[in-house]
Amino acid sequence: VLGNFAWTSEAAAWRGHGIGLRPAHVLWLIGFTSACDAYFVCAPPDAHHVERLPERLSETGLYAGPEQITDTARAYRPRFEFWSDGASKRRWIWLPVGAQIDTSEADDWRFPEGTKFWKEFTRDGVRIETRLLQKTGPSEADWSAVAYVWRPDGSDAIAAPYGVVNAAGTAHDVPGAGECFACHGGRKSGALGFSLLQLAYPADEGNLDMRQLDDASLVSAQLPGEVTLPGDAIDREALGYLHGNCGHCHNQARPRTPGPRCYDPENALDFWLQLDRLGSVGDTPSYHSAAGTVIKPGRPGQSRLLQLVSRRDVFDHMPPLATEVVDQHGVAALRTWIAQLR
Amino acid sequence: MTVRSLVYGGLIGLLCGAWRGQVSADSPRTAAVGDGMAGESGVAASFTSGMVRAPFYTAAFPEVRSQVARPRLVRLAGHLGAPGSFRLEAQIAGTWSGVMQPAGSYLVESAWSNALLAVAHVGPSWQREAVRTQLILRLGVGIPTANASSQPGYLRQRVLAIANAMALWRDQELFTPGVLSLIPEASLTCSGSRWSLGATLKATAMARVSDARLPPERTRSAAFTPVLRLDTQVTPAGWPALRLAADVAANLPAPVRAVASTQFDLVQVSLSPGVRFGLPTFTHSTIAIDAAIPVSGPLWGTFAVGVLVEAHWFDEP
Repeated sequence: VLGNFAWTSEAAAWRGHGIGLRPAHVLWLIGFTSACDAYFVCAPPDAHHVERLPERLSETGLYAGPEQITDTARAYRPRFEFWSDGASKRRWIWLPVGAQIDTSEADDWRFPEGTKFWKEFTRDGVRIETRLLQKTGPSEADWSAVAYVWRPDGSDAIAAPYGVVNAAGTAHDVPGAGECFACHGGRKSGALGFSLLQLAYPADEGNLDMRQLDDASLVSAQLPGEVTLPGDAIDREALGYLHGNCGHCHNQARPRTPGPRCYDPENALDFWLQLDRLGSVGDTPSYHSAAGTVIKPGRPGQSRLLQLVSRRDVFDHMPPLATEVVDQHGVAALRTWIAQLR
Repeated sequence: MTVRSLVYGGLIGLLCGAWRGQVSADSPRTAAVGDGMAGESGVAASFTSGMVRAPFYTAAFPEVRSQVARPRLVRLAGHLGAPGSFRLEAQIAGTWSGVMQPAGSYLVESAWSNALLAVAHVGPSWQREAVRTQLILRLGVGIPTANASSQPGYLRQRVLAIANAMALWRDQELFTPGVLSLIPEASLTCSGSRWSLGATLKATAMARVSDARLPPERTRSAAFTPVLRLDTQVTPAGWPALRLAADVAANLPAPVRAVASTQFDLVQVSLSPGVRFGLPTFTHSTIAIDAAIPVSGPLWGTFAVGVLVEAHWFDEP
């Protein structure tokens, strides 16, 4: 808690949101030499894995030609998108020929070795990066990731294993390879946006959804084509938002790995929705774990969850990384939801 | 146990074998004003903790910007008396740091520095009334042990660069991987009963002997990095001693990208205010606490500050 509290303050201050001596700075200085076990420390990227990934995006298999996505890469869009400071995103998945996704665990799919995910980020009209997440071995931990930063002329994108701050003249930060698993390491499936709950809805034309996955025999077990979240529209939007933005860290099925905590909150909060716990809002882990603690039903102004997601500039905030801009729409949805909770 | 571990163990053993005697942990080749050359042998340890904010200009990480690092640096140094007013000196450092990544997470990595060996000659001294003047000459070599592992060392490179920035680029030969250094140095000290003034000129020449896994276009084969230190110390009430040092490090070794286009930006000026005092029950030791602050040059405005806690033990003079 100390590390979280103190560090986020420091980060905010140094990122240009104001420099002033705050109590958190004093705490940070006290904890000066104890950073190694702090929750914001992640393991270095596996250099061997990163070096095995291609140096150029054009060599990863996403493109069949200039600006031409290969036919075997399928586009998809998760129902509950992660907030990326307003960046627009495109995503694709590629599965080895004849391979299936092991969906025997509905909430934690296992992907075959060789699976690739790409996510392209455009901010302020500038295409900045495309991230690659690749299953490089048979075990659950065998994922490698790196971001490719687009050249100004758009001819190709080059691997940036240590990331880029304020890339391409925008406020967008390209993460280092080791940072990818601060989020993607939170679930054993590795791929956060490609899951039953994220795809069990009628997707837009051109995007994969559960029905198409089933029709193409890309999943090992038949799963419902549509899953409806409990409650009214306000409940569903809030539960989905928490699932997509908070659940990958705040869940109780996070795989235990050696090394530093890397954003493992080590608390009882759980915003990851589960197929068998969607009977009612009160049945969801989100409500169970948060109501009465970080959520005060009917009192959004006193709910710590809302306070944390509403700021980026002082003390601690959420999400703790990969965002510098508050998602006003998401905050409004959460505020409305908490206000109507009883 | 690897060969490297044996080498490091031997060096540390050498340092510990030089137990007793006085030495400056700040750098065995840049003895602080007032240290003198008392004692036949000595050992010193220092711990520096600080904050460094990029950009600082490094070979391997030109892309690292606007990030705050919290490096820690431990230096071990020692000297051993030799016949004829000579003494042998050695130094090595270990550093570790959390490095902020672009999305906000941290990585922690550690690295050894290069090993430094030197021969010092205590030159003649002149006494005029209450003022004593002392000349010390040193010749050192830097052995490229930093990041010499065959394993990929991208992060170790970064940690060394961070430690180098926190040390205000005054000891490039210690933190620059892949170079063999020749380090001639001369220091002149004038001291009275409660004060001292000193000047030290270190003229390090570095020759690259390996690419240290840096991109070839970002390295060059040789560099010359003179450092001038002006140092003063006063002891107004007998205890403690107040100290102020100013360092000018010039012609920083490639690859350094100048902040602006003028050559002046290749000069780093820094100040090191501090305090030194002895311990009542350990009369053969002193403790020093120093800050290191850049006042101009490439590090100015990028923020680099360190606090040094130093302890050294020495023989009776």
